[in-house]
Amino acid sequence: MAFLIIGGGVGSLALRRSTRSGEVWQIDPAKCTQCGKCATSCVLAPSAVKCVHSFKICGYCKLCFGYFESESIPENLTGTSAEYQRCPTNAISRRFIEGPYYEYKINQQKCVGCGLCVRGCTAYGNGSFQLQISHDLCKNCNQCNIARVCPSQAISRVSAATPYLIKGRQS
Amino acid sequence: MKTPAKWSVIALAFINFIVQAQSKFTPPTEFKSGYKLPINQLVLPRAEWWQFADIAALVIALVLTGLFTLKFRSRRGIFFTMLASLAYFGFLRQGCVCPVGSIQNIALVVGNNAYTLPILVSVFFALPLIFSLFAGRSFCAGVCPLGAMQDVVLIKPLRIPLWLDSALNTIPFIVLAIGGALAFTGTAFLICQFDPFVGFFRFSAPFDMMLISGGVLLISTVIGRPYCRFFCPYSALLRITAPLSKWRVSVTPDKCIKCRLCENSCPFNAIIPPSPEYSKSDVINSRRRVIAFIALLPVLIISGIFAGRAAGPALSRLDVRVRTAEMMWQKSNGLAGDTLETQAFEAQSGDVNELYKDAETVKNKITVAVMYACGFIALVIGLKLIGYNMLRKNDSYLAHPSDCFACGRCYQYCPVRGDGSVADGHVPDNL
Repeated sequence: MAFLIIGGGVGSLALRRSTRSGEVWQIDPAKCTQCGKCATSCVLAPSAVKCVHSFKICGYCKLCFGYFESESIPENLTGTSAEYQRCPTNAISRRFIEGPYYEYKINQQKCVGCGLCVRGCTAYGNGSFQLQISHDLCKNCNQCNIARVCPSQAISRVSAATPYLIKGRQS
Repeated sequence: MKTPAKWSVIALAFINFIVQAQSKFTPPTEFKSGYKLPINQLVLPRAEWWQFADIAALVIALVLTGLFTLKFRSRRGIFFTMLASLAYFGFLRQGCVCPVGSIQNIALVVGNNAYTLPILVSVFFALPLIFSLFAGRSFCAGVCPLGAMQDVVLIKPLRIPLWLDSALNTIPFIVLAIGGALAFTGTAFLICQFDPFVGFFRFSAPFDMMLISGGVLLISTVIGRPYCRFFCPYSALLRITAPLSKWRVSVTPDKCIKCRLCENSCPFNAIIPPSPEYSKSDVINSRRRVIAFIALLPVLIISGIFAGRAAGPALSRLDVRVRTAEMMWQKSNGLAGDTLETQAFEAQSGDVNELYKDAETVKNKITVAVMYACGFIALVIGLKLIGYNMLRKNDSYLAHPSDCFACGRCYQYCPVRGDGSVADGHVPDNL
């Protein structure tokens, strides 16, 4: 009897607040502080978190703080200042367009989601690089292992109908 | 799962989500060379209809297992249903979402107004429970991929002494109570963190998860279904509902002839032998102990609640909001340096006093939830003690109403045929 009451109560509450569409995990770029845990805490290796480039707000800069050609920087140097924020896997490629403008593209296969380029671009550029959970890779764990350790609480469940939170307009 | 997701690759049109107004560098709105902005190819999550495929698979597996346990009495049938479920829910769907973890989503939806529950999750939570009211724990026997993993590697089952079994048996209720309380407050999904096989299903996991997986798998070779019996919080729920089941597993298809052949057939200690003759003093002693434990029950529950109050603040440290507040406080008082959390908090330029206030609210909520949880744990322990001291009366070999997984192993050991005749030279085949 008591069982029925509890079951009915929880059941009706659950039904009142339920959605037909599923939910997925996503990173809010406004909260993300690029701590680097996305690269290491995902249940997948390499992580399901990848860098997404929002071309709409990219400055097409010649000197890109998310990019820097790796050859110009000594291998053994690490730090938090601008010159060290460069892609460790050479996942970013650059193409000359015209005048002083360059296009930057990210190779998702190579990207490990470390967020170094995001940090560089956010700090010194327009912030067109951002980290997003890639839904072709994400296993949609009931509890995201990265969300558990994210220091800025940037990862939350979003409706599967709006699975990406992209800065600026993408059209 | 991967292919359908790839079919749905489309260029997504997004509304202006966050307009970064402080663009420091602006390219020309139109390039002279005619260059057009590329479109990001973002992949959508799996299509919605997959949810219905999952639900259909769950229903089919449940019904099949129910039929094999109760109607056809076929271990072979149960075994292959179990393998199919392992393949689908385990390796194809890769373990999420499962009824075990869905307990937390249910607790979260009760505790958090902002959270909406996907229908798929509520169905996964409710269906095996509803089914257990009719066909016992067929979910455990033939559907659960976690159970299947342990079941297939069980090579040489060792018997655990009954008292130890009975004691370890309370852990699922503790996990249910604490895991539920922490999900209710939105603190953590503890049950998922201790998922034993999700790493295997994905062939990839952080080191600590792999360690748990390997450990459980190793133990499973000699102890039947250790996770199911001594940890799984969903088994705690099923153990409450299964005894109410309309149809039950019975070791023998007809009348038990007490031949003792099935006695050691159950690797899970779930066959109850016929009760011995009780002397008068046995009955009096038992009655005395039962009355004593009933009298003790309120004391147990109250001490449980007090234990919860003591443990609450420590458990609240699992919550990231409480942790961040603590780190900010330590930092502002010069007790500790910067951490990733304090840096993130400062980068988001939040109000420290607001944070402290939030953390205090969360801490209180967790403490209250843990108090309820510990009260519940004490109640379970009390009821267990009472049950342990009650004299049971049964004159044949019975499948335990709540501990039986309905795996069907014992069926082959019973020499009695459906029509009541006894088979000669009966040899059970091992599966």
